[in-house]
Amino acid sequence: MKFILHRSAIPFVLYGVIVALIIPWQLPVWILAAFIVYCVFLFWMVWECVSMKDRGPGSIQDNTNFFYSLLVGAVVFLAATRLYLFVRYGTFPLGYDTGFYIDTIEGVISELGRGSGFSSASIGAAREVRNYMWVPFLWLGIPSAYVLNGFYLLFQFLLGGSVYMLARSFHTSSRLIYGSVALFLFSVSIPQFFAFWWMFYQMEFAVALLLMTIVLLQRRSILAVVIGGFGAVLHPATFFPFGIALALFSIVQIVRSLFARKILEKETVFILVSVLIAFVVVRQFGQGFILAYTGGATNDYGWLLNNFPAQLRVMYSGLYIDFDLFQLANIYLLPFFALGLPLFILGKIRAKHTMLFSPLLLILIFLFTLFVLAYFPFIYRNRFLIILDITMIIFAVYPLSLLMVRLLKDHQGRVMLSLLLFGFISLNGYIVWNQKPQLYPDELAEIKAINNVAQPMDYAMTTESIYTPWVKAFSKRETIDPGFLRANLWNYAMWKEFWEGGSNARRHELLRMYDRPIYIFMGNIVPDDVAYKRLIVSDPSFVQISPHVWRYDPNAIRIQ
Amino acid sequence: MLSSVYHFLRTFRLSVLFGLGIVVLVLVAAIRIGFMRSLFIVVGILLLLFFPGWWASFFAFPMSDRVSEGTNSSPYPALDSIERTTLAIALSIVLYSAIVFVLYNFPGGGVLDAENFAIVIVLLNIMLFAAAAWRKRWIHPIFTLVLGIFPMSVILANRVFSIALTMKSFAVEVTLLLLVIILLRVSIPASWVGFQKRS
Repeated sequence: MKFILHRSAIPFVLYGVIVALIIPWQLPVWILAAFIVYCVFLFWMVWECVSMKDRGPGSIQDNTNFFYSLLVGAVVFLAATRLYLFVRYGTFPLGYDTGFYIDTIEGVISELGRGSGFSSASIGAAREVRNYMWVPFLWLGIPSAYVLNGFYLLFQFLLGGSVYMLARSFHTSSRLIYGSVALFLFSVSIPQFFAFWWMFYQMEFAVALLLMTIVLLQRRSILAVVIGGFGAVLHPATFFPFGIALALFSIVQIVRSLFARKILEKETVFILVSVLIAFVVVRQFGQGFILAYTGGATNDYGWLLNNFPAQLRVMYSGLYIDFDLFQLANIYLLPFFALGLPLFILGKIRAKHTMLFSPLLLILIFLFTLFVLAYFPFIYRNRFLIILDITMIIFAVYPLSLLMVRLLKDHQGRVMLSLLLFGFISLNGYIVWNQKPQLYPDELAEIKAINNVAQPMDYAMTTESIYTPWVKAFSKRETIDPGFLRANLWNYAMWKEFWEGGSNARRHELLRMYDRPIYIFMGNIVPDDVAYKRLIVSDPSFVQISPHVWRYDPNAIRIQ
Repeated sequence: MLSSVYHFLRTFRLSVLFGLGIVVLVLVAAIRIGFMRSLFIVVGILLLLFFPGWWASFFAFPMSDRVSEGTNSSPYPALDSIERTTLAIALSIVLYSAIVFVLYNFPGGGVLDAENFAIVIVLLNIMLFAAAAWRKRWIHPIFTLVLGIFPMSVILANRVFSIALTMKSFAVEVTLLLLVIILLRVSIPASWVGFQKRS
């Protein structure tokens, strides 16, 4: 009875419910048990700090050096993890779309000179905005690879800077503590590293602009409209959930002010006006753009992935990792996030204006929106996990800050804090160290070599769509692939016959649909025991050019 | 008085560090690509990716915080150096992309080429500096007025006198501008226009 009436009982129950909802149940039992003990321990430590009279992260003067060190260390760790793959695997260690970007960036200047528009594959303003960013640097004579990768690394630091800005804008004391803890959590975040590895070029910049827009909205700056507008044009999918969250936030604030019988805060009025402007602009100018952006797929199949054909579901889920892997990757962060939510709901986190406007309320609504879009089978669901991770970091900052200040007070606490930080860093470091590129440098060299041995009109071919951008860009010729490109003559059923069918004669028949020699690339990802690879490796019709490239001449087969 | 001196020393120290950093960057890059090319690229990157947004951020947020500031007690939103740098880079990208868009879609077939873009980006930097200088009261308002209208004057003067807008003529005009500013500084006392610096 005493426990039930104890002040920590209700928060603990709330915390327990949240942990139960987010815990990755697929873990082995003994790891689950350890994780639950970890969660209970954290609650006990943090709640003790919350219950103490001197709430808040504590005196800035006592801990300035530590949090400055944390800030600098986070920046250094971020730089190291982002640069490591370039040092180890060369110029193109990232991503899936890298090849498409290289193809586009090299075409920009020549297309500008011809006056034919920026991009032969342009589907509208998003691609044009990206090209506008590149043009001046190409004029400076900087090689395209450096422009592409240089901007992408810059986006990472902008993203870290904007997370720092957002954490500091909560109008509480000890802004250094919030900023440094937020930046630290961002730098050790595994989902953020995966997003970096996938080379989501436009989205990474758009997320940074999105966070800056939130900060500028809170400060009632007109720059919010400028930055937000640019980001929305650059990558509308990033701003789509934020638009929903803003609309919901506006409704919640209006209802709250009606019940409290108070006028709306200036910040809320500013947000309302911005929402109206955005609504009018999208309604007037944006519908055609959005339809072009989704490639008309929503017209054919709607907004739910379940209605899409199996071969399109991976692409329209947004690539990236799925929800289960996201939970596992965030294992260290989850308890802090689970603590941050009840602390906010129970009013333990102080905000400058506690009555009508709370920046954390906007983040909470945004988090809820992202969770719904990521958990349920909407299109692009996996991409929303990237932004969901950042909102979880924002809620995790306060409990982690409390814990850090509490542990810094004595020697044993400092040892425990070191172990906790080591856990965060080592898990991320382990993932980064073991992360492989989608295309190894030797494979890339072989694809580039195709251009040296093949005739100008010969085809290149990739049997796995994961290599499509690479083969297209670096072979510098018409490329046959499973689905995207115009040179492809096979439908999905034909590709399935080629991949899995039982007849090698049928495979030859399919390849003879093309009238020119084909240079077939099969990377390390293709297992040796698949039927089509066994054919290509063993049949004398296929001449091996290099370890991963074979030449097939359908005309030579016809003559025979 | 002391806080002004401290603030000036801190700004001076940061500016010197920034300048030294640029020099080191130029020298390191010069090992591979030569000094002039390295200087050209580094200055170009700064004019594109940093300065436009930096001046614009001072116009929008003139107050500055320190990184370790305990509370946001100022009635006006302030930025610390990390926040300002982040905002500056993002704003710079937005601004120069907008210039590319405008020049590319200029009525009459577009006027986007390297020289036109270079002239416009330098003019933009001058105008934004003037706006920031007016907001922060770094220099006398009459100079900010001259700087602010200078870009428009250049374009109009070139149209009126039919002078081709090339880098050479532009360099001559910038030099003339600097001479005009020096002349104004020498000839017009601050008391004539009642300019009071903020304490």
